[in-house]
Amino acid sequence: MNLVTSTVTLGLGELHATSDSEAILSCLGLGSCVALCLYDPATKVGGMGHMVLPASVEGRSVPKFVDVAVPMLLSEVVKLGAQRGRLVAKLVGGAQMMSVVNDTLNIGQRNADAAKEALRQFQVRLAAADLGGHQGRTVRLFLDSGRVSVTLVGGSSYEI
Amino acid sequence: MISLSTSNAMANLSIMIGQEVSVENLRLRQVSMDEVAQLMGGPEALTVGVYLTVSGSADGHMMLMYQPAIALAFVDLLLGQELGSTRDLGEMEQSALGEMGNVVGSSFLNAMADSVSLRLMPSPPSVTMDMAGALLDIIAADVLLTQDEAYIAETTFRTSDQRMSGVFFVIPGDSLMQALEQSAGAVL
Repeated sequence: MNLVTSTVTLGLGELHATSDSEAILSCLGLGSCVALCLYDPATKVGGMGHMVLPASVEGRSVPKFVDVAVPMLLSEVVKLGAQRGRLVAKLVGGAQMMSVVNDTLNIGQRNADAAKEALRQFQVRLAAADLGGHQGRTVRLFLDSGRVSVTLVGGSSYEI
Repeated sequence: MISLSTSNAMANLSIMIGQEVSVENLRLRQVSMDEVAQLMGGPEALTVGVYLTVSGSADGHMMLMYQPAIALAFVDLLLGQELGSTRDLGEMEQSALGEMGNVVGSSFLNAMADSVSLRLMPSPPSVTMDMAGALLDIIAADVLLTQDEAYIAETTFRTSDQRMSGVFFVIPGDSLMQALEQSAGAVL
């Protein structure tokens, strides 16, 4: 029996897809960033993306941008055996951490909108979302079940 | 130049809190934004951040970061109370920390503006307590738009009795970075 669960923590702008049904994927301390969780319940293949900005700048096709990360992660989980039609997505993050300054930017909201729009465009069902607000979040995707937990400062946590 | 600006900022901080403040290390380095959160004990570490933006002839970000217990102790110093009196960050406490950010940020910018002949102004401070990673996202979003790494000036400062310390970051935006590079050569 394998008691070692592999936990992968994603840094800013990173993607990770896996077919290891024991794995836990996580993003720690998300503010305006948005975590995309993709999961195929039949094959237990899934992936996560730690997305920082809504739209890529020309010529910079890296997954820190939502519009790059969504199709890239989709194709990675499909490569590992997930079926497009069965995939469910969950989105977490997109908070506005500093309410006074840079209000016009509201990057968290724009990240959240861009992520929802990209999922619509690629026809992936958005099963749950925990977006917006003014609090940081840690998010974990458990590949054994597809459940997603969100933890706030102070340790309170819930599932979406 | 950043060294001069930092000592100017810390001298003013010292006057404000009525204690000698020493700059423990001043480093200028190219880092990933993930690395910045590690300085505060990881992206989930509870942190108090005082954030200001730089505007005027060039742009950038400044953030003072403290462990919560230290931030509360700084509030005691600022309000002339006995250490340990402040237990949470209400409106008045946040405003005291904001003022501290204002003094440090403005004096840093004034010294820098003088030496590069630019007009640099700090925004009003914004004080937030949350996970370090979440606080840094606001800077990450701006920096990562055009770069993959941040060029940061990082200062650890401490009071002379070693009881209080914090980290002060200055992250120049593209335009401020260019101005620094064009002027006088050596940035430090």
